[in-house]
Amino acid sequence: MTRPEKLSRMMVSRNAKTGIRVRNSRFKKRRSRFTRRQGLLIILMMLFFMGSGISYVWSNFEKTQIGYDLSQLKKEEMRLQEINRKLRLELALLKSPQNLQSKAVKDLGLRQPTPEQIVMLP
Amino acid sequence: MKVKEKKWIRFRIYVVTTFFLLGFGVILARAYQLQVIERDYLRGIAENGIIGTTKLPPERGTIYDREGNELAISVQVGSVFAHPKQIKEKSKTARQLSRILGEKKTRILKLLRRDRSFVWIKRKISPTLTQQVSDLKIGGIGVTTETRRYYPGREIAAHLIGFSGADNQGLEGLEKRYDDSLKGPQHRLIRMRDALGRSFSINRTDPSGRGMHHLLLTIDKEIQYKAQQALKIAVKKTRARGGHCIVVNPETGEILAMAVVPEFNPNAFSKYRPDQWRNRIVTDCFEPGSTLKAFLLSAALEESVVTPLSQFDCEEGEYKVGGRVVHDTHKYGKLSVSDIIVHSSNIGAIKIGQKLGYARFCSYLKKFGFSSKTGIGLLGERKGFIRKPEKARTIDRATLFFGQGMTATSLQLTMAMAAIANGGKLMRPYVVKKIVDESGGLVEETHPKVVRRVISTRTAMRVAEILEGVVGSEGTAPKAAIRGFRVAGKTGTSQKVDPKTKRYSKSKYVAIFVGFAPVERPKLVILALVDEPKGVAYGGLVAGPVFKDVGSWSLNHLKVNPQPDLLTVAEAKAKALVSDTPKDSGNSARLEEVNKIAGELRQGLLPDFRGMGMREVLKRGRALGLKVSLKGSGLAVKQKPEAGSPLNAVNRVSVSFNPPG
Repeated sequence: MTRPEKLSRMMVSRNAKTGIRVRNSRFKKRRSRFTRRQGLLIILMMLFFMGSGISYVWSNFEKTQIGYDLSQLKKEEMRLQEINRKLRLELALLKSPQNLQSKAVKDLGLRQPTPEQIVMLP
Repeated sequence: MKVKEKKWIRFRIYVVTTFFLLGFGVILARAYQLQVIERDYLRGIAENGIIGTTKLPPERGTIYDREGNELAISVQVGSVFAHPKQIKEKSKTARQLSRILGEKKTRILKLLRRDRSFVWIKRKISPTLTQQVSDLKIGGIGVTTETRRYYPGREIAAHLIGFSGADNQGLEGLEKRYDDSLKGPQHRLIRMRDALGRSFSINRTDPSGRGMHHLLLTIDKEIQYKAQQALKIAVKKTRARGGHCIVVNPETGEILAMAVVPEFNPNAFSKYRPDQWRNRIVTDCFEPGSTLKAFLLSAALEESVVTPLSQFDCEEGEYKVGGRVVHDTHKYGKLSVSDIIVHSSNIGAIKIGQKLGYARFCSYLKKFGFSSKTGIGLLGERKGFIRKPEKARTIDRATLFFGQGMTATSLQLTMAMAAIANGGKLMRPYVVKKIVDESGGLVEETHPKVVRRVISTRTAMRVAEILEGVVGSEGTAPKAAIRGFRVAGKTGTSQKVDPKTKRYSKSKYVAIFVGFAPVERPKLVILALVDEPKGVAYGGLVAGPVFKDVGSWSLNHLKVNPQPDLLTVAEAKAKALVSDTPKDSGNSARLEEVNKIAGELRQGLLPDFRGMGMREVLKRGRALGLKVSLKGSGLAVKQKPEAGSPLNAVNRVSVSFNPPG
């Protein structure tokens, strides 16, 4: 007789002395249950893994979002830099000596000072 | 039961296996479909996600003057192009474009009808116009961004800066010389769209490992402008062919201005002839003429072959040497060495030179930097020429002493004079002060460099004192004198060689004045050269006023204090006293003031400044040649030394002010 057969016969057979049918399978099941502590640990670990999974996904999402924002801002920066350059050019044109001289002489009626008119502050 | 159970288990295994196999099969099939069957189609979709790759317009560094004013700057502009083969309704397209671009329809239509795959419709226009064109969304018409170089100062320092071409390449001047530094790396912008349709871009820099740099020049925009203006006026007035003007700081060798007339506008350089682009200050050689006598004097004094008081016979204006007769403009008998320089006697110069010796003079000229490049690092710089002693005939040996038979550039002549101004030390000239990167970090800096000591400080000072006489009333250039400053310099009028006859022309001259101010501590060395003036061609008369204009303006701009000579002030006041007879009551107050100052001067006593305002104190103090230091604000309450102290013992007076009331 093979071992499993023997075992199954034992499981279904009644106890020779007491005549009570032994249901070993139920006891086995009971034995495989976790203790409360283990249960708690498992829940905690599951929470931890879930949490880290969610935070990983979230950070990835944030990263993409920031990437988009960054590329938008880069574009904006380039635009503003270009405007800045154009304004600097305009300022340089307005500040050019030719322009200033014609404004000073023609519009404001200013003229070059003579040496006596120049007072240098010490 | 047992068999039944076994079958059940087996059945379940089959179910699960089939399930997995099927699933795996589906995945494989899908992978095959995506990777093999639909490969090209999907690639097309993916590439559609990339909206486009744009080559960003190449950037170019800015060129600044010493104060940080922009002299050359690049900005983005738009350009419109077409693929004529892709355009169906050419006439309609041309009409639409002509309306926006303001070009003739026929011109555009002609371009569109050309048998080419690509044509530019209009380049370098305002980006708003290109936006309007791209809004039309015509197939075959595209817009792109390019950069355009602007020179906001227009003609200012144009010959020095040069210009860059349509494709961002330096073509002339510093733009060409420093092209590698100014040119930025090529950026490529890859614009993409993600699954949700949001666009984003990736900036890729072509790996050249080179950044864009900006140049900071030693040029002072204001002085440069003044130099160009003054020179332009002189050239126009004398109907000359052109002119040069250089302003140099003798202590450092920094070039503050480098003006060439006729000018050109680098914003529209193609409208000018190429020979007008040339920076003639370094590329053109001429005979320095009598200006060379300043260096003859330096060499002769340094070698102690003469003293300023040594006498030479100037042969009444005619001297036979090497079979030729040398003339002076005025006839002189015996003259001292300093008078020979002040009156610019050629015969006197020959006599000093003969004492010094040709070879020795040549070696001094070489030490002063003639016949070798100055090291300024500009393109096309020439060396000039001095005849070697062994090849010089007797007449060559004589004429060199007054500047004939050799050639030099304006820059060489200026730097040689700067060596005298700088106590005998020859400096290397430079125009680029700094090269900085995009974030302003220093890449390269040029420091002042002494090339060599040519003459001793003592000799330099003695030469400067003698050269001061040139701008005096007796000298050849009284018109170069600057009021309020001691000026030294030398005139030169040299004949040009006629290219046809190969002889000295009788009508073509070069008028030069090169000098420095203030003599006691030179801040500026200025050369003014007028090429082929019509009519009177003397250096002192033609170029002298340019020196004076540029010098007085620049010294004021650099805040160098004028020091009016006590005597001249007193003279002026005394004259004012005599001429200012009280014609009307408005004049009487002024007369009273003049009276007062003249009185103080006569007495030689320090006036009482108490009760005066700051401006008044400074004005009066300066009129008396005093250094005034001020304390506080309001009206003068206290002065040190006290009023009435003898003037000749005082050179500084400190005045305290308090607000009135």
